[in-house]
Amino acid sequence: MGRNRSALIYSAAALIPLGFLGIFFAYPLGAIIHRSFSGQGLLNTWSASSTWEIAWFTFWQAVASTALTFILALPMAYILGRFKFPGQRILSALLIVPFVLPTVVVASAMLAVQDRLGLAGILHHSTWAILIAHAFFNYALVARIVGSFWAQLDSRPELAARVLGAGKWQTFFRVTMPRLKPSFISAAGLVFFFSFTSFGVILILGGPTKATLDTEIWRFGAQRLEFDTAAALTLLQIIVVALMAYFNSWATRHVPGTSAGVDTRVRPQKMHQWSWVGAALLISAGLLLAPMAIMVWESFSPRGAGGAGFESYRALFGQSGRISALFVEPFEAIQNSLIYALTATGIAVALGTICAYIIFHQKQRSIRLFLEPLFFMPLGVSALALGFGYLIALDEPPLDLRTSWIIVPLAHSLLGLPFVMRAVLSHLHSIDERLRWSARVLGASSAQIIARIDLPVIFRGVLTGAGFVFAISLGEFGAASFLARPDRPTIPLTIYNLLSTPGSLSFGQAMALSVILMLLITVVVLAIDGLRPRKSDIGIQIL
Amino acid sequence: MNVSKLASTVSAFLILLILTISCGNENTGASKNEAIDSNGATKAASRETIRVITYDSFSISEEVLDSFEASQNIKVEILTSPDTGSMVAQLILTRDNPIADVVFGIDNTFLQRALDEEIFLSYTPEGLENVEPEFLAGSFVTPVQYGDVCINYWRSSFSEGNPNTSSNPESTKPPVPSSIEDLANPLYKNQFVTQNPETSSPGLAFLLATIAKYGEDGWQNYWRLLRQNGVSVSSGWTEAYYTEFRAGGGDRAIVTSYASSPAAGVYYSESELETSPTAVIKDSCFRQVEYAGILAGTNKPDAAQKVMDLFLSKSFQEAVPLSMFVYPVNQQAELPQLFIDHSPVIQNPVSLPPELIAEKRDDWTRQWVEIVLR
Repeated sequence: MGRNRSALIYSAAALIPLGFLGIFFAYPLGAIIHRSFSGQGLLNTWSASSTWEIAWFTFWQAVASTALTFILALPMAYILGRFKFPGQRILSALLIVPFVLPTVVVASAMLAVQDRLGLAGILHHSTWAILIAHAFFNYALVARIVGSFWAQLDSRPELAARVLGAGKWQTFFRVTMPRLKPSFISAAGLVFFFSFTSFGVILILGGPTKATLDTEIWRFGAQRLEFDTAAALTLLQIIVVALMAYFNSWATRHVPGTSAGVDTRVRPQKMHQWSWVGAALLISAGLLLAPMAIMVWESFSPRGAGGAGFESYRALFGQSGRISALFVEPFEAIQNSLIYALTATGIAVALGTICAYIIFHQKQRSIRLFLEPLFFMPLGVSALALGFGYLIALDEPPLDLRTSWIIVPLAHSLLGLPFVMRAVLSHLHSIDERLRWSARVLGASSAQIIARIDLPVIFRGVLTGAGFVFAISLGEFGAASFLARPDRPTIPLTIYNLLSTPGSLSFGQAMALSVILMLLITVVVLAIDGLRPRKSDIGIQIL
Repeated sequence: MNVSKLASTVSAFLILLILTISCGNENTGASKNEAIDSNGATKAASRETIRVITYDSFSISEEVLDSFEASQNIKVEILTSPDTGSMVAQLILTRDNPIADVVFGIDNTFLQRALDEEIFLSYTPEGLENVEPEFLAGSFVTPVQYGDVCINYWRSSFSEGNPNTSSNPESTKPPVPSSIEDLANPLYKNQFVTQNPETSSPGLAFLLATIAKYGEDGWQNYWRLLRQNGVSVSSGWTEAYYTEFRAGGGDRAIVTSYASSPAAGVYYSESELETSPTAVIKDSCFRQVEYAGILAGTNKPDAAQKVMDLFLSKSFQEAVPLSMFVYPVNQQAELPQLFIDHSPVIQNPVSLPPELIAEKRDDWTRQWVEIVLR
């Protein structure tokens, strides 16, 4: 009786996110591929060896980027997950800043760093430059996802292992890592997808000799106007992404009952613990701080200009002499970005949580394996293809949305949904099943179980996810460049426009706006993080 | 955590959302409409809206737009694409149900393709007689502005005086480059940065300039010489100009940019400048003409025609230099002083016919990649 009804509810609920995905992802994508497709084009493109070379490069640079990001970010995940120290909250929030920065700006800053460190010879237009840039952007994914998961991990198995005589590293590899695996695979999957569809980094830092599927789709679709080739490449990209998403879901075997339900972090006591904190901070400072410091510096003293001062900021908020009808005050761009981000976050959180619940309660593994990767697909598909898809698919009522402001947050929520879903799912899995059973036995209804047992644990996951969606939306450039109306631009679009104009004042303004973007995301993420429960009141742990 | 805390979080979030949306609507809804409506509320009722699609660096003087909207009773909405290529791609893909009524800013490298796909409606706007005949391209499109892609150089890296004067400390600097032949001269080794023609519009324009100058069989050798001379290739204008070129602190003194870049550099400078830090090699310019047209799928052809007339009008054309840093096609329009001082009109640019560009472009860029990058 109860089981059938809840199965029905979950099936009905599944229609909401699936419908959303269908209308705003599958349908436009299908439309654009169908419009541009030709059998001959498919044959030609898929049989060209250059296509496979490019596909291979796209793939392995994404894998290498993921590996590098993990190596660099794990120490930070460790100190965020195991220790409590002053300034931790701010540090955790600051880590997301790189994620949000537009690639054009970062690439420019990184090239400047290369020059100053004298590394321009080795790094100029090299694959290493691409990998390092990917690590820069995606650092927060690993640090925050793994760190947040680690923070609520029950530490008693580790303590038990130490008592039984295992060494520190032995404990780590044999006890901790297996239990951390779900978060590892989550984070790795996300970093992979972002690196796979990386566009600006490849174009600017990789230079004209490096090409990935995404840049080629743009080159054929928007420069050479060979639509059938672009469609064939998009299909190839979809297939590869689907395979990887499926593989990622399959590899994620959640280990239940690992959550302590409380914050198990401790203050570092010994010297060696503090040295971990130091090491993590040093790595992150070297990788993340240098480009950002250059941007801040150049907002005060832009290239090509003389001294240092607040001119860029003043010009940004003053009229600066441009009396153009199309000119939008940067302040309005900030407002637009916030509105888009809030809307996208709202949609993604709602839908992502529903998705997580549906998948969690799905008994059949085969259906779970089918559903979960679906929601990751938007992360791995070219923004150009999707943008064009919206233009040709959403052109008639009731879906005449292609010139509406809401199309931008809709696209952003597609990108953010898997974050929320994954974060909530991994936290859901970590709840000890016996807590639910005993609650049932004691007479709690499903709603009560969700509210009092699930919610405290998954709320942390929701917040992790929400922070990322907000950051993605704030910094997203590709889809927004196609879909945003010119009277409602976002911050990255405005920065890009400023960077396309000669003159030190324009450059300075672009940097100044980037600095404002950095401050904005830090404040928002701090606010979101502040909502995290310090202690939960789950009560007694059942052994 | 109790439910009430959750509830207060959610409601705070919702309130924030509603507040930001309502603030946003207030500001953008705003003044433009107010100013016009104050002339007579009844006018608003019968106004048609014409949508113009253009690239995202488009700019139009607010004054010109307001006076047009008031006098013609037409509201003009601007939609943008990230660049010309995406814009043309979009128009071809949405030909039957286009997103706009008029397109502004298709340049001669994309023109033929657009014409072949038959996306336009024929129209001869008022004022066409003021346009130089060499810009005309048939009745389906109207030329609206032109710009030239030229090689720019950083003045202080070169000696502008007579290099034979031994007492001149500047005589250690190479002389000012005066033609594109100089770029292959070892005297200017490792000084030149340009853009990939496959991903950049000025990059493509410079390649076309070399083809126009050296012919379809001679340009390949020129680029081999450039490669030997250490030419650097960026993916886009921003990287070339702001990172590799001296203007952005880089160490290359010669870059592919626009004829109007010196004027723009002065206009957007932090401090007041008497002379521009950059100048143009006049002999290196490739003419880029931009066109506008009425889209075939429109259902408001009459209003669209009025907008096309606006584009050729003297007031619009005179505002074009300082808003988009290009030159007006209307011979009656006057250039602003800033342009006369720093970026005067190029007298003898080269160009290639749009049909030839459309036909051979892919082949040329493929060859270029082989010669320069591989």
